[in-house]
Amino acid sequence: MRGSHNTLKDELVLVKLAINEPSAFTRLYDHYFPLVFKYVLYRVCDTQTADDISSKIFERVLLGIGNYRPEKAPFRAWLFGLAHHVVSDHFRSQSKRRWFSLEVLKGLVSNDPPPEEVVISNEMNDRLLEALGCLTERQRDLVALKVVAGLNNRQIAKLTALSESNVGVTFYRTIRKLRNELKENGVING
Amino acid sequence: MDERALIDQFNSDVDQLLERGWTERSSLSEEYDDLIELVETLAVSDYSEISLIKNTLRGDLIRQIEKGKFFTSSRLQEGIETSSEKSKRKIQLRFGYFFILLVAILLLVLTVPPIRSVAQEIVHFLENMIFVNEPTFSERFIEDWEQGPPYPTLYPNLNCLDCEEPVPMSRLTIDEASTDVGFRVYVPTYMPSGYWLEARDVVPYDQSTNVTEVVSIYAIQLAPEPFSLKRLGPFQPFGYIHIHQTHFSEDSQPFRFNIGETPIVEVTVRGLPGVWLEQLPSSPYELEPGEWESYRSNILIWEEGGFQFRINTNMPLPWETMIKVAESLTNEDRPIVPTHTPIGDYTQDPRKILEIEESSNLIGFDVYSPSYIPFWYTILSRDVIIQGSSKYIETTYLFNNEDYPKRSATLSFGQSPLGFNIPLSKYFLGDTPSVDVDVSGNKGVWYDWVATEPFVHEKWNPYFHLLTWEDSDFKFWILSNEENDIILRIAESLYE
Repeated sequence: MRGSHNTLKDELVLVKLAINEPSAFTRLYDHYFPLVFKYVLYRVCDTQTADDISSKIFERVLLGIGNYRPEKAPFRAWLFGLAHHVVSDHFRSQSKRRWFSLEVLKGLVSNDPPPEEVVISNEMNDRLLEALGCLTERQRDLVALKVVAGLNNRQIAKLTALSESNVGVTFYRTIRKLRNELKENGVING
Repeated sequence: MDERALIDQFNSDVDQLLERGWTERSSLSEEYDDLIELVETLAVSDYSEISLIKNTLRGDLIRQIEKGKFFTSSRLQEGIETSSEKSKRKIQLRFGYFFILLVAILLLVLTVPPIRSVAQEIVHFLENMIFVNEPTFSERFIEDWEQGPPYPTLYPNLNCLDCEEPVPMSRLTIDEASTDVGFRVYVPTYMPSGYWLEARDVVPYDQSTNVTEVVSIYAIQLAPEPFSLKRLGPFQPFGYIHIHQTHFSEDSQPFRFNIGETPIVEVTVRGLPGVWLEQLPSSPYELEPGEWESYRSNILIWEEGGFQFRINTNMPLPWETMIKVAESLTNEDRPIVPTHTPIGDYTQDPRKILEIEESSNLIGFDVYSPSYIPFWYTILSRDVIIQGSSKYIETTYLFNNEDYPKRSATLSFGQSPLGFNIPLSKYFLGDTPSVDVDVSGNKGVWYDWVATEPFVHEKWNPYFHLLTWEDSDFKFWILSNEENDIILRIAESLYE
């Protein structure tokens, strides 16, 4: 398994050039899009929403990348910190729905997937997503930050305001819960 | 290996795995191996192929780079940093909230053993509460049930026809409750939109614990959107926020709170140390005959001024909302009013009830309100919605009156400039034809439809109506499951 902490070669140079050089941006994008998309997907458990949010994240990345300071944090941590906030903002805006106002009804428009959409499906991936859907938002956040974003517990604690110890405990218990969920559904044996 | 050491080992192995792609671990157990493999699977799974925008987004962004659209914007960076700072401050005031529906079940949860007997299990403590990582009441109940007869029972036992009926809670005034309980009761001056005071009562003095307590219960009729009935359990037609204020005498022993594996988050509440517990399995319910699940709740607990406060809810409310509830608690004699954000710092907020003049100033045109709104409605919000070039104002009301037969009506009244397109989904309107109507001499259109999932609820009138009309200046609409003639009457009262 390729370590998910692997850094792109010449990453800092690519970051500096990204807002002016399409080729530099393309390399960054191709490396990080799958991770960002998966990070968001693990948190929201919906493909269309993950697309929408990933799009916002990359726009914000390009708007803010000129001010990125490598001495403050690795680019990966900066990127996923930004992604974390964008997803959290999404959840906050979702919670502000009102009762039977236009805002509620308008929200339903975007929830209907086009029936002609063709989706490439991998069964194990689907089952994983289903199992993730049984976790709380916080638990999904921890899994995504650790496993996809590749942040260490200290970095995760800073983003989530949990203690470093709590991060470790919650992550362990979440993975156990996920494993039990998958086992109950017959996805894994044991 | 104890759990703490196991957790440390696990985290270390995971870090190694993610860093290098492999781990030098020895197999601790089959389960442990499964956990590591699961992490590996989560890490290597690639979902990018199911993204519909991956390639188009790349292309769009490249085109914008070529046009020079992206530049270092210090203002945007400040915005991102300001947002991060706000989040930090809010997180420090994070509340959790949890309590089970009935006070009687709470008393079963909280016991008072000698502290020394539970010293090994304590995971956290406040002055009058120790948190123990033993199974919660609900977890224990379900475990006992699964072990077979004799089966445990709940109080109140809703299945028992011969049992004494539980005494309903009162709705005491602040003064009545304060007199009964012997201290000034704290009340919130802020509640999220839609909640009403369902009950305020004093828990009878318990000689075994030497505590006195007042409980205030705020309720909201459960909407299927955006909260999932399945997630909350099938038997909760209402959402609740409970506020407990407990006074401990000098002789009182600390409460013991079994929290199972629920992680404790140490928080600051009103400047004091507190505890937040999220999604704690709180009380059991029977999903199918013989099959039990747990309701889950979030809890905030802190101690202040000689009292212990516990706020809990069965609703997945965002923590920003619960912060405001806790921060708004006061024992001064003030009525509960919604909080307004000053105009100079305006952000859309579903809790707002803007005054008419305030609304007019914000939206830039005169705002009107029907002179007739049935007495069984309570205003929930009046807010201005601005989206790009579209702007409108909407006032929402909720049925809330004990004297009126409950039919769970909800009503929204909207106003916008002429020509505004109400973006309703065909999901609602379906094939229902529209009907032309006259509203005080103005041309209107009437739509009827029958709600389907996710808006179906046993207590809701499923027949919804949209009445929209334009006069010479503005467009108006009423969206409601109220009776037809009442909707028309409300509309026509605009011109009285």
